[in-house]
Amino acid sequence: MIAALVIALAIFFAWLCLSGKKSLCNLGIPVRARAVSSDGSLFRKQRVIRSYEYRISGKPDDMLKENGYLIPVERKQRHRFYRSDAIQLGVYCFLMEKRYGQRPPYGYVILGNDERVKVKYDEKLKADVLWTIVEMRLILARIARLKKAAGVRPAQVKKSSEFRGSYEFPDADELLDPEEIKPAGLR
Amino acid sequence: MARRKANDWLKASEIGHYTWSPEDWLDRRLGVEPDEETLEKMEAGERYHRQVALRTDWAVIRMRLGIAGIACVLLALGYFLLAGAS
Repeated sequence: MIAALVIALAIFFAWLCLSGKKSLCNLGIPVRARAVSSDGSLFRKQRVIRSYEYRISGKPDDMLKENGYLIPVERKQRHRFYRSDAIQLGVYCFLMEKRYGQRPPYGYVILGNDERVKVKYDEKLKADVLWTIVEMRLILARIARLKKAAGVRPAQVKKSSEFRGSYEFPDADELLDPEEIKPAGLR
Repeated sequence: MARRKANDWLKASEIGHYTWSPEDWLDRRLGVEPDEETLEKMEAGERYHRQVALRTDWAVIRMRLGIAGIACVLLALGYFLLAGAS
């Protein structure tokens, strides 16, 4: 009688364990990975990672521990993967590299249909991320300059001559001015 | 001054947003309120993240309970075997 009860309990707990693991796999989390932090979780608080040097911050939706590495995860409700997802994931990898001193070799984008896209964090992605940050810094510097020079209010900046009509990206020569791209705090 | 310094920071989501649509990012950065449709999408996104987090929490709880239960069963089994042997 006791033996039957023990076997029944063992089967129940094994089923509980396996169903939990299966649910995690269905949520796009790899079998060998362990969830470290999650956005909206009651137990594993979401971590904010900051780089004071570059003045950028980010909160990966999930962070997994896999093969000894901390891996960032970005979740998207839609069912398609875009370049902007890779760039956002690249920023998380860049921040984690700076913060923890260990370069994540890849990250995951998990789509709304629980499809998992593995994005390799290589030199090309890192260069794309840095280039994007430089572009944004240049635009912010332009806005600050406009506001300062003409006393333009933020909502009017887009209507002012520099931003009228089609959106124009700064050209490569402008981007190479290091004083322009540094955040104000570092000048 | 503190507010100006805070505005120098860029968020990872903003960088993704800029890659997706530079004009939209600029609008948001300049304080232009998103339209109804965008607000609804943002709310739906938040709800989706909460749902996924709850499902993940529940799956982790089940898994850990399962492991703890198996450990208890094995301990009990060992105890009964040892008690029966002595």
